[in-house]
Amino acid sequence: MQEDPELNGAERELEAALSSLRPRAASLNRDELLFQAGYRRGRRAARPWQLGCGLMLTGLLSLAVLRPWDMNPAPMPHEVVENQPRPAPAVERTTNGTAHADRDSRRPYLIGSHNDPAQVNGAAELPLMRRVRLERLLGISPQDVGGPDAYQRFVRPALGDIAL
Amino acid sequence: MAAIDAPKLAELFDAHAGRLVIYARQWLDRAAAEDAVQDAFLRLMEQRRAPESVPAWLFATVRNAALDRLRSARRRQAREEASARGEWFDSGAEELIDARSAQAALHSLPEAHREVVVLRIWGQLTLAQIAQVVGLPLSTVFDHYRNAMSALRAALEKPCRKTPN
Repeated sequence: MQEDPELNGAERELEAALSSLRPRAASLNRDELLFQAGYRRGRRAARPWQLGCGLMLTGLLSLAVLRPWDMNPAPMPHEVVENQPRPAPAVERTTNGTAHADRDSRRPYLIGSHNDPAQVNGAAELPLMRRVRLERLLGISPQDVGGPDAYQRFVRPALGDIAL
Repeated sequence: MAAIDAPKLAELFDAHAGRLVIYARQWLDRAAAEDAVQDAFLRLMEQRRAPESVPAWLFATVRNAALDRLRSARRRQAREEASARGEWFDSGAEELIDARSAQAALHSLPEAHREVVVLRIWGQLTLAQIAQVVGLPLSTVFDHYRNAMSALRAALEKPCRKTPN
């Protein structure tokens, strides 16, 4: 359909006359309107940032309160040694047929031993748990190597080197 | 199209604010009409993308806001009285017709006809855009405009006919 509404001459003159009338100026404050518009847009743009910061803060506070890394603290090595069940010692027979001494003889060394494992040369830096596990794996006891002194002087440093 | 920025909004305000107010005056008094126009501009800034036809969008938004306010008005007469208060046009030397007479003639039109005339003459919208704003078929808008112009001509010619010799 045509855009022209097909007015007659008189109506076109009336149209032109009406167009000459200027709408009364609005008392709206343009600067205030622009300020409000910009303010609203800025607030809207800040919402994702506010949400992100709120989530981060909530997460950090949760970590600080709950401390998931402290929930199951690892026991001290010497405590684990005391509480861990000891495997059944294998019975070995020497060349003369006699049964080997009970492996439980290692227990006085490992538990309540007068020798502080941390003081042994070469093993001071070795975690105690790792060394104890190695001793059991190898089935070594002080009696096997000729007593606690020999064990301290020769075996324990070697174990430290191996485990490292 | 990108969102409207502040300079563009200022330009649109300067071009259309007065026209939008006169359009809203069909239903509202001056203060309410200006509130509706201000809200329309603020909503325009909130749009993520600029409308295809910004003037048509503004007029449609003002129309919806004015009609929403009218729904709370209980008496039609009260609405018409409110819209009739105050002058719609500035008096100036350039005008080819008496402003008060024109306003009175416009008020004598049916609401639907008056709306189309205001959008066409002062809103400077095409008839297709007017059809989009008012939600009527284009043919209906054509008829409304033609009938309104005929009625206005008749109404504005009456004082001349009644002038005594």
